[in-house]
Amino acid sequence: MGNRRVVTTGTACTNLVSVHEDTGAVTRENASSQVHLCDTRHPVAPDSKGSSSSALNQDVSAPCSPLTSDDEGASDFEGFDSGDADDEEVSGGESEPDDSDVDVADNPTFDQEEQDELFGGDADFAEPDWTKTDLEDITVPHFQSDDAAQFPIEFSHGTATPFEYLELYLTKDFYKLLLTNTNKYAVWKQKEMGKPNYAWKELKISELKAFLAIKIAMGISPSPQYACYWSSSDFMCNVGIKKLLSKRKYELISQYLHVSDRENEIEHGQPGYDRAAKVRPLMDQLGDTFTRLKPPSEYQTIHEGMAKYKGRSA
Amino acid sequence: MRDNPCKRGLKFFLRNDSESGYCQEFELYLGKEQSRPKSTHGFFFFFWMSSVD
Repeated sequence: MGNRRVVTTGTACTNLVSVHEDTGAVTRENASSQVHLCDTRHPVAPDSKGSSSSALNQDVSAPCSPLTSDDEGASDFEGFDSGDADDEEVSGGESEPDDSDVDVADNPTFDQEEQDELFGGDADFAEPDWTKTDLEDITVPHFQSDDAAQFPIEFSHGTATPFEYLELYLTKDFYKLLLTNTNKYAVWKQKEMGKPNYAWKELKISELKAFLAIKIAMGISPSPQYACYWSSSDFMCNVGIKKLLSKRKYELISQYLHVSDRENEIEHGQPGYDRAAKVRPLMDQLGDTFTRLKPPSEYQTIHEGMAKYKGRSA
Repeated sequence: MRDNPCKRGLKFFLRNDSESGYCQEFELYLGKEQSRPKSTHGFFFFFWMSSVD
């Protein structure tokens, strides 16, 4: 996508006029900054339009919008396609769908006399002070990120196993975050309860990894109760899970697993309170990991997503 | 909203690669007040501006 044309639907010098059928009232719009970036694969050539709307689709070479600035990120913006430009034209008017946004200066059905009659010879409706010959195509350079993907040194794309790919995202920092905050929370919680929990021993990284592995395994083979995985019955139990952790240890880790630093969390109602404080450190870390493993590409999309709430209480 | 497959849940704004769908950046929407400084713009605008940097 080398050449791009900037198509404007109405510039300051293109005054849009629509005449209401019933009342005869005239509305004028000095359309300001409805700028559309347009791929030349779908060109909106000024001449291909009817005469009534041709002036609305002039190619403009001037940097008339923040979208065309030199900002590095701006080149990511893909722009709207020419279909949008067509929509804009129609939506402006109420009475005559085809001729609603009519440029007076360019429309053969409005001669100078009618113009003066309608608007009292308003000086605002002068001829535009530019012509088509002033316009030239602009070239938006291809975007190339300066950053390279940062993979761990020991990672090899050719030989990496699925587990190694997973570990790109569950980094050492990820385990460290869970480990330190879980241990801190256990200490904090016991202090708050006022009595020590003698069953709790400081969590080790191998136990944390086993816990996460069990969680994944439990998702693959669901059971009505988590206790079933440690059942003494061969029909109910899961031998792999039984080998990894004892049921008691699993319960203890579930009890104290924590992502945030509970001690320094800001309470509800206090200034600076964060509703997502419990998962904020993990979200921040994952966001960094995502960015680190893939440099931004030329074409990107921003959109809204919903993760369904599965809880039963607010 | 009526046709929305999940009416309740966590609302995210995501910046993805348009080819592969790889998520480059995401931001959890936490309600009007908390997600951004006081502004006439919406959260989408705020997120877009922060991703452009």
